[in-house]
Amino acid sequence: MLNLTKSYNERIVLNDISFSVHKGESLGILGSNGAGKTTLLETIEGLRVVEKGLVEVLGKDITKDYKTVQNMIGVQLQKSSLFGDLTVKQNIRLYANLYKNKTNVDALLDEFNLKKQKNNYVNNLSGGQFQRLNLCIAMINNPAILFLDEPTTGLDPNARLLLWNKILALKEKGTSIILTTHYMEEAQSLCDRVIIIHKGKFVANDSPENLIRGLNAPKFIVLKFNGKIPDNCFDNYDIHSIKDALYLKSDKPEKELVDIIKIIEQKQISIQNISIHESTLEDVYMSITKENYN
Amino acid sequence: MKNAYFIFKIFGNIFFKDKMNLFMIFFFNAFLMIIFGISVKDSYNMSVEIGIVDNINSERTNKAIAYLEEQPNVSLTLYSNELEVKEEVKLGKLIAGVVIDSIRSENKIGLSLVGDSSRIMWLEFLNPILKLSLVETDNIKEKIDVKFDLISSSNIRYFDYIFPGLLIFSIMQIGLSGGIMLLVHRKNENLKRLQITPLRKWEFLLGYSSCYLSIMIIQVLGYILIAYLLFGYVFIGNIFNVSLILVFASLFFVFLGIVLCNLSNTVENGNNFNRFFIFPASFLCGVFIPLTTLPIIIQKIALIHPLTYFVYIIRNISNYDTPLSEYYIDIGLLSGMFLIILLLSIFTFKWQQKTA
Repeated sequence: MLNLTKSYNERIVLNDISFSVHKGESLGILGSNGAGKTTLLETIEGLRVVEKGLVEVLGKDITKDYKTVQNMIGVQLQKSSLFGDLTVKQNIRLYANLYKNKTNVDALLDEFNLKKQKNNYVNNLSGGQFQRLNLCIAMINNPAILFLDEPTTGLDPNARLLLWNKILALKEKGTSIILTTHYMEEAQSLCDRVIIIHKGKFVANDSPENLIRGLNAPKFIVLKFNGKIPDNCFDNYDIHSIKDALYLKSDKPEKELVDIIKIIEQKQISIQNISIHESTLEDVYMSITKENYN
Repeated sequence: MKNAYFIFKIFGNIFFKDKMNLFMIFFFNAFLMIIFGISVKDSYNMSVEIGIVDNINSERTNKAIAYLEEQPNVSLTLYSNELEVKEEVKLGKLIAGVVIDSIRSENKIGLSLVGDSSRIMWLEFLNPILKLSLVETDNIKEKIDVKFDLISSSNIRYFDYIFPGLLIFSIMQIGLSGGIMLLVHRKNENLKRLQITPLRKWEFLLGYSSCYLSIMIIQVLGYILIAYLLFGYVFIGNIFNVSLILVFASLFFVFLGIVLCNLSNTVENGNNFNRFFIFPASFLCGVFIPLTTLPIIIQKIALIHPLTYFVYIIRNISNYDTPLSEYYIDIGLLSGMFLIILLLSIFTFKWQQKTA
């Protein structure tokens, strides 16, 4: 994608955006609500007009060859977009029939654990089953690239984990994945690289590890006490207290943890829990987009 | 074409699964039709008003007329000339007219049965009775030559009057409801999901319109069957011409529904557009009330509505067997409208609901 710019009612949503995704790579697009994640994804999918710039998918210009491209990609839209009055099998059959290169419907049902629900109406599926069906339909044509728009929004932790495993399995098979999400944990677990959109521009584009490293954020040893936080015990440390926990800033927390345990034993402090808090993608995201909220 | 078939199948499936839709579209109109039919059923027990012109005035014909008078539920009036009888039939004062004449050159009795084409059953009922009465009185049946003289009467059976119009009215309802269904699918992003498949716009429109066309054909056949079985309705006109107009109307209103869907951004907008077409149609276009009974200005306004033309053509073709060629101006006008609607439905088609 080269220099993509898109606007709505004179408001620039995407401003001069360029990036590429390699074969087998998984890319996460992060950004606040209304940042333009879905617009970006749908422009690449050929659902929105490219006003300025060049979008190529699998070597084809999306503006000229969008139907050829759509034959080769798999898409899961953000909103529920399947026919609720039809059964799981009827929905899969419909989409399977529309593609030249399609997978076996029964094999897909099996792969996505939907065999038991095949005769259930889509309207009667649980959130997890519904998202699995969405993913299953997105995979119906053996796509080279898979686009997932907030695939696990609204799912319970078990259903989310199940879907993550499915996505990781597809990634292992060599499918390139571009996904948008609000869950930093999801991006960190599923993506080789993340892009953060802020005010229509890319403000970050790297692997989650590099982004966290680049943040140079301090690490903390977190102490949770039984009862009141004791005074003057950890005066040698840079401390912050939040609720009933004490955050001790530390450059080498694994090493300093031993000293802290010694202090606790000496002063006979009653401790509920000790942990090390390292920076996450969420810290990176918050640090980059904080300005927006301020 | 293959993709169009899948769309046809899927939307057909969705349509027949919606019980409320089925009730409102299929059964509600059928129910209305039956109510209309039953409300005029009493007329079957009324006496049959027949006018007779006896140009021979022989002992034989007098005996035949006397025999006819003895038949239950038959009320005879003698007229002096054929024109007078025809006029009375036209005005609806008589169910049928009988003109007995001699064909001197062939030495036969000519029997002319005058009646409205929608009431042909009365003529068919009279035919054997008349023959029988003449035969019984003289026993020379081979010398009777029967001729049916069908004319247009202003007083036909109400069911016969409304039925052809009701068919078109139902077609319009389904066509426009098809547009609303499309809006619902667009709102639910079902169409957007289809857009990111290899399915093309023309394949979708072909599949969708064929699906609704088939639904209309099923509905129309069902109504015709009910009308025939319960009320003895038969098409007097050429069945091919009737079918042609019904199919044309179906295509017209399916694509009109799609255009209205394209012009609306929400289901509510679509419903308002539909109301604009359906509400005036129920009293303005001659489906239930004859157009000629309305004030002149209203009659002129009614000409804007395509339903007016369809109802006018189908009624005349079905009930009076008038040839299609008589309506070339109306059909030409409708064809022009259809072409515009077809082009609009293709070029303004939207897969997605407009977002802010």
